[in-house]
Amino acid sequence: MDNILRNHKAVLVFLLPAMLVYVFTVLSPILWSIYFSFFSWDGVSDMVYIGFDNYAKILGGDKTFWKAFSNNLIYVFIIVAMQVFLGLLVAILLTSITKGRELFKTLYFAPAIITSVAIAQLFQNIYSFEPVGILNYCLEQIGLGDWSKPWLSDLEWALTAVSIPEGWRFIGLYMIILYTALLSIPSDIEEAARIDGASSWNLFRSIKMPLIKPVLMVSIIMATTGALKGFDIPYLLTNGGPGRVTELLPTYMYKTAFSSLNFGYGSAMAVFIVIESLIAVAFIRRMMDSKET
Amino acid sequence: MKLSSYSKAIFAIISVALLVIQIYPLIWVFISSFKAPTDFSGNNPLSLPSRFSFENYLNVWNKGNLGTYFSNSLIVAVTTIVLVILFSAMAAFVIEKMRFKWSKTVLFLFLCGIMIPIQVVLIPLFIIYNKTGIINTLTSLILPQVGFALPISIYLFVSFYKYISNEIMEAAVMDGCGIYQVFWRMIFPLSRNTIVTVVIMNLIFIWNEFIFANTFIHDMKSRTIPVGLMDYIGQYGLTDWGATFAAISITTIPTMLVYFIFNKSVISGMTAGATKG
Amino acid sequence: MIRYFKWLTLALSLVVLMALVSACGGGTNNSNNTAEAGSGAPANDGQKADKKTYKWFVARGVDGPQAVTVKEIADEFSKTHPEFELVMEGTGDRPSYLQKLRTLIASNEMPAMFDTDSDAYASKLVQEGKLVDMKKVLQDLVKYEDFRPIALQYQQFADGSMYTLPLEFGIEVFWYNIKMFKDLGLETPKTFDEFMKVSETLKKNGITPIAVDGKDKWPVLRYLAYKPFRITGNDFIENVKKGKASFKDPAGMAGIQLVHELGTKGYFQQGFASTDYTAARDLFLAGKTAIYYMGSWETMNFANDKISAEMKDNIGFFRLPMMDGAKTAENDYFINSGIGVAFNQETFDDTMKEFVKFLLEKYPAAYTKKGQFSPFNYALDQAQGMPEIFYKIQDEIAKSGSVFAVPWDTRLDPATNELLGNELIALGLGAHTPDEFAEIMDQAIKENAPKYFK
Repeated sequence: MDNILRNHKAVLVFLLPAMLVYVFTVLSPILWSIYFSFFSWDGVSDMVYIGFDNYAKILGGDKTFWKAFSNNLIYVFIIVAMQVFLGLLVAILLTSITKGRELFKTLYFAPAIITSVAIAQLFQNIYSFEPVGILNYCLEQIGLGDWSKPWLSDLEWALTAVSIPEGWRFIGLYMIILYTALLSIPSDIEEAARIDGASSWNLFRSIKMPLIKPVLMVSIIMATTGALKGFDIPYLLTNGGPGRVTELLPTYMYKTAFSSLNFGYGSAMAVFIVIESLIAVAFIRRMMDSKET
Repeated sequence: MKLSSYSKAIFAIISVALLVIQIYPLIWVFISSFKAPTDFSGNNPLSLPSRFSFENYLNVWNKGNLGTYFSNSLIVAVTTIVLVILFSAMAAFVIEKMRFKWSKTVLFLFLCGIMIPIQVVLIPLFIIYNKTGIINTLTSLILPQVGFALPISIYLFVSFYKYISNEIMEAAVMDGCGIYQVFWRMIFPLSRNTIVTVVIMNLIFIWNEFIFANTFIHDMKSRTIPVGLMDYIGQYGLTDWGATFAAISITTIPTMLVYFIFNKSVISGMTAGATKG
Repeated sequence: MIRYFKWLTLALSLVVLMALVSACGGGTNNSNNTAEAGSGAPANDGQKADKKTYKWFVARGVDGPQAVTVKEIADEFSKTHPEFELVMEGTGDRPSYLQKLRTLIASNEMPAMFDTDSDAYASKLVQEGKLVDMKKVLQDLVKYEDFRPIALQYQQFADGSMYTLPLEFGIEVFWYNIKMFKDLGLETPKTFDEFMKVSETLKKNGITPIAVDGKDKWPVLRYLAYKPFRITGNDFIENVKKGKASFKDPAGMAGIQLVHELGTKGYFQQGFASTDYTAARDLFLAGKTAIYYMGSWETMNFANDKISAEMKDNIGFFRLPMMDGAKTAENDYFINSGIGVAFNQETFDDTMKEFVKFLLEKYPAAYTKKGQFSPFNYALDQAQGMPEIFYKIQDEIAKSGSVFAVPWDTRLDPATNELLGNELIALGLGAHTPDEFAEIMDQAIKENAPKYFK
């Protein structure tokens, strides 16, 4: 038995395909990014070695970069808030419904299976000001016409406007995770609390919340990393505009490389994003560990 | 929850309102795909089409390359999924079941991949693809998608293999099975449920993948559906929303059908991907 | 057991399929004239290997009059030259076109023909010897003199060389709603001061003065360039792009102030930053704004048979306003021959040369009959029955001056351009003060220009 499981050739045969693809498409590109980040290259002429200049530019006050960084934080915050808290709200509502839970679940989840390109095109119509879009039209109809504005080109609202679609499409996903957690609470706990005379609100706050806290935690973490990866919708909706109001690190990186043709500087930003993500990993691991102990 | 009928009614109203927010936009896209161009510049975006016309669909179908896009998406999705399943099931077997001293390290290496945002590999992959000539082929889409799907899939297989007892493997070995037979004849068929989860979890993401396709594919004949949806806008002028919505509807309806038929496994598959990631 | 064999067979056949697909894709890698048969485009199946497919990557829309005309001529040419086939491909709006084009070229897949301005990026391609010298081609074919001089000048680089072929010709004017002006007793503005007053009056009377397409950025960029052109001709942009002038110079600040004022006073339509080309035009055509600046290529869309009853005979146009101390004349304004077509040196073989010759012979008549103004010396007389507004513009073209304003986006380096587009919209929205904007731009040029202009 042991001999068979120690078969080195078999280890290679089983592990190599996955390892090769993974190294080629995930790990080595990160090393290449580090390499390219020391060059200046426009895709046409020869590469020029420039040492740490690209990093100096990031740290030495590329205002757009830091603007994109702070936008990114706000973007992540809005998405996490929507997904986890609205998800929780819907999950609670769902537990109170007696009929058609399955149908509700299925429908709530539906936006998650649609491609981001379609979502972006849909939201362009929702936010449209001229011709009047769905949101502005609804505001007018309920007598809030003063609030209507060109959401995607409004300096104060554009960032929120591009964050919402990404949050919206995955509310269903988190709703189901949290709903499953709520259902798994043993009913005798609830019964006991009721006999003690706890109100619905108290029951929820002091009994259910603590019980689903671990799942809530995981949801927050998942939503955070998911939002950090978010790119498609802001890229398609505003591509960073107006001005730099909705610029995120990934959109800025993408444009720097593929529009401004500065592949070296783009790579330096990619390295920064990897470091940022690794910090997130470390942070999450610590959260997980402290939760288990 | 036990609630008074009064608050029950309020809860029901809120649920329905949220449901409308969640689902109405999708219905709206579908309705709008039947609108004539003049309906879009009108003052009421919520109105029904002035006349139901299939003109947009005809336009899209006659002029567009939807068929090509569709088959490209299909090739990419199926190839990716098959490779992901095979590669991750095999790798997880080594990591969890075989006596291999680096398995912890290998697993850690793979798990790191879960946190890496895909955008960071775009520039280097783009440059490498250029030099090797892979750029502008469907392979250029399949490879990175397999790479990025591996971590979570391997994780799911590893968690499943934990539940397979070593005794039954030993029994198989006693019967004269070699290591390959143990895997192919026993472990792999046993993992049916995990395979289904991995397929469903990845399928939707791969089907909808946009950024690799947008960056690595230049020719119309290799475009996949998500990028193809964008071309419509440009090709028929920026405001031909009717055609765009028709294209979205055509390409989304198959996904929707699959979803409504298999909704339980889709939901559980996707949530498994999220929570265990 | 049977199940996994099925899986395996499926997997294997797919891997083979994948290899096939990638082999085909890889084959077409470096040149676009290789036969593409069998690689997925059913139309090409069964073609012989000597069929040459030339790709034209189009920025102006594959349904636009230029592309349609060229395609018609190409199909006619294919009848006598069966080996020749022209395939057109386009993508999205201008910014995404440029991004895609640069990506293509960076990946050694330069199309046989593509649309480009004579910008800093094109000049880099010329330096690398990738483009066909169009001036030489036209001279060899004895076609050089057939063009309107300005049409060719517009395609030239600053040193007088020319690598792109013009397919269109247009002057740019302010179109206006005659009735709105009349009702408020307004005259068409002759100076920028008058222009601002007109805008103010319109605004006060509840009419949005100007419709502008902010999504594509270049229309707003025109507003930035008006005053500098009046004050210095094209000297300002030619100097500032190299860092030899500053946006803080009087000419630069005059331009910046104008955009800032128009934007913050609400003279552009609300939400102009996300309004696209067609939406902006529709605003004007629906009578929701009074003024719309655009080139003469839109003329046919303003003809009576295309517009609503209320707008019939209601569209006029006026020239770029003047100002005190202007260096350029009243009939000098933005004139251009549009984005040009560049030809890939590598695929410019005899067949392609033949085709260009054929194209140049057929194009002027075919194109003008579509109600367009061609870059050739070619005019239609009244007997041709074109709409009235067409003849009005044709007259205006005949009267236009010899100095023309160059679009800034064809002059600046790509990185600065990309930044300028974004920051300019922010300026119009009031997110930057004029001084801040000037500072940002000077900084960007200092950083990016040295890589492109030696």
